[in-house]
Amino acid sequence: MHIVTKFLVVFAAVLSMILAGLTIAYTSNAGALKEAIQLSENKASQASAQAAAVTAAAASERESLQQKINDLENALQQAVSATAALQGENAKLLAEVNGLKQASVSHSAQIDQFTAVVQTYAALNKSQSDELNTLRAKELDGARKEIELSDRINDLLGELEVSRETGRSLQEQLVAARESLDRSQQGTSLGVSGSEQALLRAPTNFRSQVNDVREDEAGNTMVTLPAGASDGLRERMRLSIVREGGFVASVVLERVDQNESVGRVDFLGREVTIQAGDRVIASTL
Amino acid sequence: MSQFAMQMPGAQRARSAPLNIYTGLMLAAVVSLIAAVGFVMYAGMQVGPEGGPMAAVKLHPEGKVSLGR
Repeated sequence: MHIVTKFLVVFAAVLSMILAGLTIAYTSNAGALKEAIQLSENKASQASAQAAAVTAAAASERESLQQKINDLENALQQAVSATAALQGENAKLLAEVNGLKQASVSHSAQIDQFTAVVQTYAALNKSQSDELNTLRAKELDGARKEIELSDRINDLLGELEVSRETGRSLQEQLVAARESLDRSQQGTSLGVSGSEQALLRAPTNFRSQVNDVREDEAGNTMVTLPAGASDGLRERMRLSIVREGGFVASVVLERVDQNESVGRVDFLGREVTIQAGDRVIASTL
Repeated sequence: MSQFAMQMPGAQRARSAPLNIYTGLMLAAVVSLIAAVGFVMYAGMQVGPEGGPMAAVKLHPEGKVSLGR
């Protein structure tokens, strides 16, 4: 055998042993790697399932978060629009504030002017008030004097009225007396004249009125007076009936009680009527 | 004596064996083995633990694979 052949045989044997060792190691490591890969695939599948579940949850959460984001964006949009509106309103209010400030300044000046005017008017009013008080005092004094003069005038008018009434009554009675005198001169009965001389005078200040008017059986007109002996009246006293200041007729009392009297009316030939309420005074004849 | 590589005077010089077909076959086998060792060593370095040329002859520990890359 050639030396080269021998050398190649030896070298081939060595290479065969090396190749066997390397193949054993490679096979072992390949098995381990296969198991590791299988385990990794299992873990990967589990991880994929978990990832899918997590992805689904994340998707739902993302959807809810997206919804929230949309809501928040809408709210933000509304807030932005509200902010814009508020800014516009703020600008408007600022303009109004500036206007009001200017108006306030002008109003302050006007207030100062009005204060001065008010003070002037107050001083003027005080002087007028003082003058008014003086005038009122004078007016009260004048009114008091006027009242006194009015009272005096009324007293004098009353006295004048009484004097006129008395004078008119006296004239009427005088006329009646003349007529009675004429009738007596023409031949009427003397007994009547004698009976008239026996009549009494009533108290000078006697004042009363007719309460009732009636006629007795003989046709004489009888009147009832609300006065009697307590007022100084007596039977056969002569009284005069007057109305509105004028003489109407004479009354001769025929019955006098304590507080009531009845008298016969003497018309003295006059065509008059007696009414309840006619005044009755003392006769001066 | 020649079998002891001794040259006797006047002896005929021994003639060496010629190269033959077996020598060629062995040469092809050696070349093939060198190529196989190279490829297997390269593959063993790829799957061996912690990498490196020595990874081709090392084994992974039980339950733990570490390629070192």
